[in-house]
Amino acid sequence: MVAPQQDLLERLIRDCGQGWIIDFFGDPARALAALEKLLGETTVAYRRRYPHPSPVPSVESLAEEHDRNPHRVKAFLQALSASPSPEMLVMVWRILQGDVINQLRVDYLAEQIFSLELQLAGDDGSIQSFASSNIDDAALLRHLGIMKMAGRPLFDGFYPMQHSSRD
Amino acid sequence: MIARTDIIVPAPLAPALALDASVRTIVRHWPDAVIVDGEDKQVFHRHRDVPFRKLTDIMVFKDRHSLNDWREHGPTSSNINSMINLVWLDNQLTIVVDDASDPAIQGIIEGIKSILRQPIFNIAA
Repeated sequence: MVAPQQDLLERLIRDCGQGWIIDFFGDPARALAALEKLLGETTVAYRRRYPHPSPVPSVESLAEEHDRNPHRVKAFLQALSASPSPEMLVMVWRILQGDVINQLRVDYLAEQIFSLELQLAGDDGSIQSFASSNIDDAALLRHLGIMKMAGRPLFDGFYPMQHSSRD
Repeated sequence: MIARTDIIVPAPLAPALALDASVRTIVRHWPDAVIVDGEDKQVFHRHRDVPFRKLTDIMVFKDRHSLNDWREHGPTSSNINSMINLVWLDNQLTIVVDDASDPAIQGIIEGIKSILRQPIFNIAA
């Protein structure tokens, strides 16, 4: 029997055109359970960092957001499939909620070192740093908005790949 | 009467995605911006609360004071370049501003154009 949360998560994943995330590994039920577990750990990690009231990355929040901003949910689900780190997923969620990327550092030496560090600033003035030494998390960088503001460089926003004009 | 300028940006993207990224860019310039649904005039004080899926016409005011000034007086010389109107129609975004030669407005327009032309937005499913 599939838990209601898992059922909702599967519907969101498929509605966002990301069914491959759970079909790719041959055992969709097992993949879905793993994603739900990771999302649950992300919720816990989020509450630890941001104890004040704010939208929490959970299946329910994703469902609500999907009605209003499906592209944001698609971007988050793509991150969920790419990163095994609840902390990095908290970072993604905060960027989607509007946090500014203050600082980003990548250190890499072939077959020896990967280090990713980001610092976010919230609209309440809060500053939080996130770090990873897992190169899988480099996939998250592909989603960052890249732009120039008055000629100055800026990473801003977290966007889905392979969008559809129907989204 | 204040003349307004339309800047048209071709962007064959999901409307919600294009409007979200554009409003986010404006908020970077105007951190106290107030966002208004151009159709039903619903007001949003935070970018994250805007339901972009339901919108095609958005007014972004520089701050609450600018919104009140517009409500009271309409477009006047005193509130010039304090509101940007974004309209989505037929795979293009129209950015409506008062004075497109203003360096601050130019910076915002440049930002919107640069975010909408980045490659990940243009890889269709």
